[in-house]
Amino acid sequence: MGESGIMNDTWIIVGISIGYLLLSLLMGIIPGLKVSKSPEGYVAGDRSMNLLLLYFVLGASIFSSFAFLGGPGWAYSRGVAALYIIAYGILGMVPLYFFGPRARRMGVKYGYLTQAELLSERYQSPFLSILLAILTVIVLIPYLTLQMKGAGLVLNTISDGQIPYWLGAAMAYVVVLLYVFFSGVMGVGWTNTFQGIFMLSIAWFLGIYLPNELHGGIGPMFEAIEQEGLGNMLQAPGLQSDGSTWSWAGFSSAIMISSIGFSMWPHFFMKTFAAKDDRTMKLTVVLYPTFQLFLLPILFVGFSAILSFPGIEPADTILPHVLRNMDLPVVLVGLVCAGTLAASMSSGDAILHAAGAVFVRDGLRKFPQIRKKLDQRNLERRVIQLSILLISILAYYFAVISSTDIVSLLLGAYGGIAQLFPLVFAMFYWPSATRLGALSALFSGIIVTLIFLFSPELKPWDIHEGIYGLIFNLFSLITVSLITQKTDATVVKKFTHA
Amino acid sequence: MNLKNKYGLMYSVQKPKKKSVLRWFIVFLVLVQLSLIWPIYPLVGHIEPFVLGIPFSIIWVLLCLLLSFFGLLAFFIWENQE
Repeated sequence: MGESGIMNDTWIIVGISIGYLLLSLLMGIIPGLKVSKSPEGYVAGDRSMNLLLLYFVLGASIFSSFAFLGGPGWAYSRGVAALYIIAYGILGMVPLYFFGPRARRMGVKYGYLTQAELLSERYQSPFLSILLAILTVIVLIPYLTLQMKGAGLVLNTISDGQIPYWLGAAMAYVVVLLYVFFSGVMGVGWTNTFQGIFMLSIAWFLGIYLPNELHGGIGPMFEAIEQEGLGNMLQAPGLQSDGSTWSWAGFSSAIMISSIGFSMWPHFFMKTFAAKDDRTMKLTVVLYPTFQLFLLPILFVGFSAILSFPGIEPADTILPHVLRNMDLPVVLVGLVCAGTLAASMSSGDAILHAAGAVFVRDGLRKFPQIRKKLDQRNLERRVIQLSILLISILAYYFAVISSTDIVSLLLGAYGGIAQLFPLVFAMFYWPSATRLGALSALFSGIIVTLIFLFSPELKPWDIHEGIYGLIFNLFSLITVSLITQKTDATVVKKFTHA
Repeated sequence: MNLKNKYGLMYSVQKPKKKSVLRWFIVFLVLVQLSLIWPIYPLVGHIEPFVLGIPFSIIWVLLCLLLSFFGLLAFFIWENQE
């Protein structure tokens, strides 16, 4: 095939990706027309999500660029350590089986739409809500930036540089911005269902196809890895990023902290308010592990490349690298690229939507003067939309222009987000928890986590910094709550009897 | 709220039978979690035996996933019948 043939192939792949973007846009805009124009419609879809939507919203949100590019990257460079991604999700969603229905019922009764609204009512502290709003935006922006980078990278790589990185990221995220802006959470719901089904099919196909092409099957692939003397990659808990064996303490504590933090992410927890009824919420949690099962084939992609494409740096680029260097049908490559875009967009949309909603509901609204204005002129939905626009511009700035090291910010995020767990648990189950107890728990937990994140040499044992944070967090919550004045019993009862 | 559990945790359910099932369910969840990390996973996370061509370290995590799924499902069904 000549020069023009290669060009043609490139444009077929780009064409498929663009077609896919347009289809997502259509899927995202239409459902938004059906819900009310109120903040409730925009943030929680009028509390009407059924099982199918909720399952895919929660599933596809976790199936991000990180899973699609990072998952194979981990399997490729660290072996079975990549199982970490599956392991923490097995029970990570379970707390929502218990918290979710309660939060949902309180939402219906008192109009709550976010996690911080619950917490600030239970602990009688608007300050807590503002604090959480600021932390949420600080954590979600780098998360969103990474998704944009993923999309830009994919379109840039597959078009052989014809589509510059900045344009690739912009194309995918203008689509996301449009449907999130106009349709709110229903746009997120329907596109995630569509994108979820699409990328799962792609993942399964690749996870079976690549081991077959490169090694003649999944079994022969693993045997070959073992025979080449790389058995330590298949022996739990796998390797660290520097190639040495990961410690059990490191592996176990990383899984623990991620399981605890998982359900506390605002863009997950908030979806409990969108659930149609308790049964839907519970059944979504029950079915959730099936979504985790779909991560397995995407790890096989990484395993299949260990022997065939050694020495690729950084490991995260292994999937695009394999696609470019194997003689694959051009339509297939296009579909895989669309699948990667799907992974990036289906997480980015939920994050963007949550960041905007939390910023307004939990931040701005807690200032009485602003709240008055928002309610008087019915502006809340508009202001959320405006915030969504600003947040996406900011994230785009970090993705394309600024060279700030955002990855380190995100690394600390799981340790930080897990610090919410004791507060949420005590909110429903421990009547003695007080405002000062909650605030001191949150502060001490986050500060300790940050200290050990930035100075790991201070750690007494090699366990995740978030675990140290949680120890201080729990200690402060219990001791301070017991010595400070109790919260008004009628407020507490609203939660313990929800 | 009686004095007895003034400082303790509040159960979401009051019926003794439901309470005990809930307790066992939580024990089950903790066991699943411990199977995925130290101390249980190190005992079984070896390459051999291969099952369907897949190393046992991977198969074990899949088994935990299925166990957790069916456990949750059983609890959900039981709870709905009550």
